Amino acid sequence: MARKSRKQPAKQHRSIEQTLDLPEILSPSVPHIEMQGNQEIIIDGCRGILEYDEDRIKLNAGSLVLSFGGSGLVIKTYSENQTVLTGEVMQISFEN
Amino acid sequence: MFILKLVRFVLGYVLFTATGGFPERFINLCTKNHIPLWDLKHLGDTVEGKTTVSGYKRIRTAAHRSGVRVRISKKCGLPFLRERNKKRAGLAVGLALAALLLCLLSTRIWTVRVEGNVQIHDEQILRAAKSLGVEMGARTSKLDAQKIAQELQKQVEGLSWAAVNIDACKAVIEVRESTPKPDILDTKTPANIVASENGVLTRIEVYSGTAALPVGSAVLKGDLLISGVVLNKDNSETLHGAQGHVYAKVEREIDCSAENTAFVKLSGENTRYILYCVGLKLPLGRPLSGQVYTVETYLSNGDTTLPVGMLREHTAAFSTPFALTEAPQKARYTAKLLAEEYRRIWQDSVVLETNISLDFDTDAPYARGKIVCEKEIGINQEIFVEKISD
Repeated sequence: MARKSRKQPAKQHRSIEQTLDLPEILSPSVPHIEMQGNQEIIIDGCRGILEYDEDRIKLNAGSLVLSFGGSGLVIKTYSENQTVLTGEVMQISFEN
Repeated sequence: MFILKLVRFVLGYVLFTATGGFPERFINLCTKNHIPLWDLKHLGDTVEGKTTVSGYKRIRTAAHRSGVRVRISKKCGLPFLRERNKKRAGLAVGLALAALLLCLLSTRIWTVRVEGNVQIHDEQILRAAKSLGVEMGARTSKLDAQKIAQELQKQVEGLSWAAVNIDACKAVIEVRESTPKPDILDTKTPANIVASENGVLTRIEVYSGTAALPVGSAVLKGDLLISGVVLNKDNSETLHGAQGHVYAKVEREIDCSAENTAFVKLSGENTRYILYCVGLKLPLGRPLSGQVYTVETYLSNGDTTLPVGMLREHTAAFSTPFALTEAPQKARYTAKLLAEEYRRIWQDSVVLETNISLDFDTDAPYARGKIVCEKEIGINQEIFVEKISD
């Protein structure tokens, strides 16, 4: 029952988006990533940290797993709403 | 970002290290329990981060469940600073005084600047502004800029426009000068040009009227040089205002010596210092009598002047008579007199010849002789005409 109730809002969102022809980024299931060069990355919609090391950070972003590789990686801010990473990011990969 | 840092500093925060266990799980549990974390760095086996004071108090559960050991590295912010300096009463008093002084100074004028003046001196405008209340240390709330600007325009002659702009602690007086009206030559009043002193004419330039004497003529004071009476072709006469320049060679007698000159020397002088701070004056001594001049010195870095400084009042009385006794002193004084004579002659004349005998080596040094110079000697003299009605 609980699973059903979780999925319902997403479906509603999709249908509203499709009806109103809204962009995909407004969907809460899709992470929103903003980059300032390779020095700062702002991620909205992050649900947890899967791996944290000096040169690798792996984040759970709902339907995707985001992996950032580089050097001197620092989690500048970490909250339910927004995560800000700084450092020298050299690699970004997405996993399902 | 600055506001965020300021808020964190005011509320206080803790720098901690988390060692061992599962740091990822620890961070996730902290977020789940609404413990704010920021500036997380992975340094080898440890994770370094910052959290709030209340957040750190709730961090134990997350640490226990994730198997990490949490230690405080540093306590930062105002609450900890206050706790550390609790026993230092002087620091608190100093901070309170600084805040009080800041509040007091922010309500006062620190600098008064004048802009836009060319011919009129800054001092003249500043003196007038001071009489209207715009001065260093004046309260900004009491100044009515519009009224002061109007009064300033009335008080300072030659201003066509004035504005007083009070920007926080700075007062800027902007002015525009009026163009002076040109002198209008009176050509209608009948007048002659006559000699103002004795001499020999060297040049005559006639613009209106008739030259009365040729170049080379010797003239005495009051002699007619250019006549305002013009003879027409039909032998009738018309009266004009004579215009022109008449130059003549004139002689100047020079007799400079230190003899028979009465001197007075300094009989007494007094100085009084006054401490000045935001309009308040604290005199360090008794008031001075006589003519006092004041030297004002303020704390400044060249661009901004603070309304804090020192005023030095000085008075000097010259009443003791004395005479020059030494020859070099007399010679120096005689040379000074001669230089002054030359300066006076050069103001309105051109020196042509000098015949001066100097002797500065005797006990009574002197400079005597004549200077021949060229000078304009013509001055206007009105012709009195009686009008006879028909």
